[in-house]
Amino acid sequence: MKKLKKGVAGNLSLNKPSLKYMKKQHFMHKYSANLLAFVSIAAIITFCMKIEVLPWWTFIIPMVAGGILIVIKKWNVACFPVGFLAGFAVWAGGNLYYHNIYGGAILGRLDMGNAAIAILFAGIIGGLLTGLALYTGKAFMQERKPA
Amino acid sequence: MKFIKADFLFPALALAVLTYAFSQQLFNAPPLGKVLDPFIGVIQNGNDDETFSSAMKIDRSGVKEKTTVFFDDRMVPHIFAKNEEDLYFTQGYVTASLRLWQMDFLSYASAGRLCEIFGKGMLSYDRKQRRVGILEGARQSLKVVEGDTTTGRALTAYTRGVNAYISQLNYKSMPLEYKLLNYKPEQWTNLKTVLISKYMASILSGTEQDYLMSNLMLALQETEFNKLFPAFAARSSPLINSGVRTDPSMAFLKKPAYLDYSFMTSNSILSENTYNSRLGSNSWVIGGQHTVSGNPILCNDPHLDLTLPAIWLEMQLSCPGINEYGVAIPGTPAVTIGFNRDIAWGITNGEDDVKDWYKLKMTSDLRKYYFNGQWLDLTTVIEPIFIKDDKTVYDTIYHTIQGPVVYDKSFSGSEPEIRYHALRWQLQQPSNEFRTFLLLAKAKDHADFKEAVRSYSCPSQNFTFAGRNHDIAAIHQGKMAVKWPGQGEFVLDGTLQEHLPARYIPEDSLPQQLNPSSGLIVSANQRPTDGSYPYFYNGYYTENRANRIRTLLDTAGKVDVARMERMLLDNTSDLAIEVLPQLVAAVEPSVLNTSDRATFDSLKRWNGAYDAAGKIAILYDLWWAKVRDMTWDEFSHFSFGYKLPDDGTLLALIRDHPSDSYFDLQSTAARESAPDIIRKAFPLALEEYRHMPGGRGDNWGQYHQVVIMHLLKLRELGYPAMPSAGNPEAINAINGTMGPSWRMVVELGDRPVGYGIYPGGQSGNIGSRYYNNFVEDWHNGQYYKLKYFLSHEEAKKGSGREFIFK
Repeated sequence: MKKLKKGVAGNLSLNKPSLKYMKKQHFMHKYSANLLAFVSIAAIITFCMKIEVLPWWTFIIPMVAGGILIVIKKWNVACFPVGFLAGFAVWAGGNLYYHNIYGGAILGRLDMGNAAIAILFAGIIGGLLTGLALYTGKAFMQERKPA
Repeated sequence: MKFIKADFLFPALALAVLTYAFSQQLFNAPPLGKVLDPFIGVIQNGNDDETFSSAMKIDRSGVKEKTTVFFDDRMVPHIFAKNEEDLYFTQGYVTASLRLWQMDFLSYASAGRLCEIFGKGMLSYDRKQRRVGILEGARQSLKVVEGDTTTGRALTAYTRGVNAYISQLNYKSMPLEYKLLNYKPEQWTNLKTVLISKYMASILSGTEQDYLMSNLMLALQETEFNKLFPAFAARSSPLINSGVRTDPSMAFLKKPAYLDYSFMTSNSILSENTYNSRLGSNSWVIGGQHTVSGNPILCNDPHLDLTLPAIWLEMQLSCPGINEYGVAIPGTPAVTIGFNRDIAWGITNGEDDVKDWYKLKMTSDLRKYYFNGQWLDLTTVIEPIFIKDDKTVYDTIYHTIQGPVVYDKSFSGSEPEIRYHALRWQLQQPSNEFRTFLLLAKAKDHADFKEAVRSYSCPSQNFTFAGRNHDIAAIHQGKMAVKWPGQGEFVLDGTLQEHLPARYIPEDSLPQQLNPSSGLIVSANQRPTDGSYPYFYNGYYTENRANRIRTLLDTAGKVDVARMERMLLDNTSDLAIEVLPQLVAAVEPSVLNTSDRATFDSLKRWNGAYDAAGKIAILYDLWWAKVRDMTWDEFSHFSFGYKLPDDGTLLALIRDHPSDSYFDLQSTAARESAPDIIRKAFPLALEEYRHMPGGRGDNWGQYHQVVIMHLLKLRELGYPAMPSAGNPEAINAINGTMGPSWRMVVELGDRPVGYGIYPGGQSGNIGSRYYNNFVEDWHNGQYYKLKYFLSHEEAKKGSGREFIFK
């Protein structure tokens, strides 16, 4: 996200935003950037995973690329947490969604605790891999930047 | 060039390791990445409707002409083809779409290939399967099957159908068990079909007690042995009853001269036999003179292990010349038990002993064995056993003229006492059982039926028959070796030519009957003939269910289908009816206190029915078990494995020889008689009855639960235990995990009317609503009317979904 340029509003002292306002703006930018990243990542993972002929882990590749892009574009995204949450949402949410629309045909055979563990585990797998993939991409690019 | 820093290396490495780990089967866990993937993993197996429909809509070039599959409201396929090859191709395709994993798994289990799925933990199982000769027998049989035009074409078409289904599968649509066990379906072959047939033969004819009976003969000697293990029961209803006096040489088994302690020196404790000799079945046919409609009625309920997916798949198969309905074994073409427009047929297990051990004399280097006065070369077969994630094991199996040497120094298995014995088992011989079912599909009368069953070799089965032309018939069919009295009852001497059967009982001499004057045919695993039958044979027969069926039919008057449906659910034990008066007569009620007397009176009034809601049957069972244990307490001193005499023998002894020395308790100084031990047993049984361990419930149903397990024994995939009526000695022979696997009643006439049910569901997919939807109705004793369509047009009107192949 673009940093606030010095002096743009500096000449008009009456309109100078307060520190509180600037912090809020910054927070909003960051918040919306992470939200946007969350939605985009979830959409990309879903798209990749829906291509059933590809190996199950194919979504990792665009995630690594996404991490690289985040650095190049200087987007202010918390890669691992956002990636983890998006991956978790797709994997756990996907299982939960299909569990509901298929009438609980598979997980319904397990007792509640085990079914919840299965869904949680799916979420953790998706979350860990997505978060790590984004972070790996980001770390890769940050290494190439001059110190 | 910069050095790669830990900031990048660590996440990259962690990512690679995790991706790899989630792609692999670790310990007993399946590859979790794939299995829990929401878009292709196990959750997608819940989408059965769409997966099934899309499989059915794929264009297939495997059929020559238009073939239509109708599915009715119970998911029963009704296949209408224009020629036989298309019919069996489509049967293969549809069967695979419903039960692929089950049929594939059974073929692995039969061939001794479970190591390929589960790893080396199954090595002993696989080696045993190979060593008893199932795979080799299947290979030899395949040559015969493929050499026969009728069966060769049908099997090949069926195989093509299964493979057409497999070829359109992907990970998402693959049956759940493949995902959990992390393997893929392999191409189906005709050999796999033959292996399924051999698997059924093995479970139905696997019982043998040669060593056990040899030891008992030696310990008891001839007279006692024949008294306690009589060849013919005191009360029986044989399939064929000539009324001619029993041939003494058949009824009294002499101890063979070779059978002595020096012959048996290697004897030790006999391990438990893993085959279930209680697997049985009922079938009866009622001639038109005894039915309300005037048409014959055929009933059948084969008793097998109850599993999910069920052993049977219901279907209708139709093409010019064929229109049959019934149940098929997934993996094999045609219908196994069922009916067509002109005939109906049922099957019960023949129970013959077709599995014999020969004690060998071999050189220590395992190169030669002694037979008929000379040393012959042992032949060897090397079986490669592939093991998942491990090195292949090459197992050398030695063969003699009698059969394979199952146990040797490299493989003691679970039966070390029969090391260096050769096994001759009829299922090792080349045979073609498929021909029977392919011809039964087209059979129009008794002559066609006889021709069809002629090729059925192993296991011996009782085929019952009813024809639209009012013929009723039955035949005890199978390859039965001609034996001298006692041959095969005990361990045989492998050095002697005369111990090897040279021929089989001729086809026209097999026990059979056509239109008996009684107008009734009863087959329920009883000894098929009386003692006048000129050939010796032995087996594991039970008489109680046949006696009960005969009693009910003899007094039934004119019957109809509804009456026969109820009769298949009859819970009454013929044995209990006979035993109970003997038990209660021995007890003097006046010596009992008020509470005990009330319980005793309640038992006295019991009608022998093992109904789920009743309780008193539990007391009877406990009491009879204690009488049995007290009577045969002498047996507990034997140092070898043994079996107790039959309950019918015990009953006859109580009734006819109450002072017999077997009733004398070994632990007391006094000499007891039968009434004495019955009296002693009653308070002990009563005490146990009143203090049954927690969880056994307070009625027979809860005490006696039926469990339907998934083939992998995974609790979540099976059906919860259900309180159940029935008893192994009753027609409704439910017991634990075993019971009536398909109840069928068919009345022939202008249009056959059939009713049937099995405990399971048409689909093998646990995510399908058709996975176990019959179980509750089966448990409640209900039947479904079988939709037998006479034409394509009828099927179109009377069924739901329709899929056109080509």
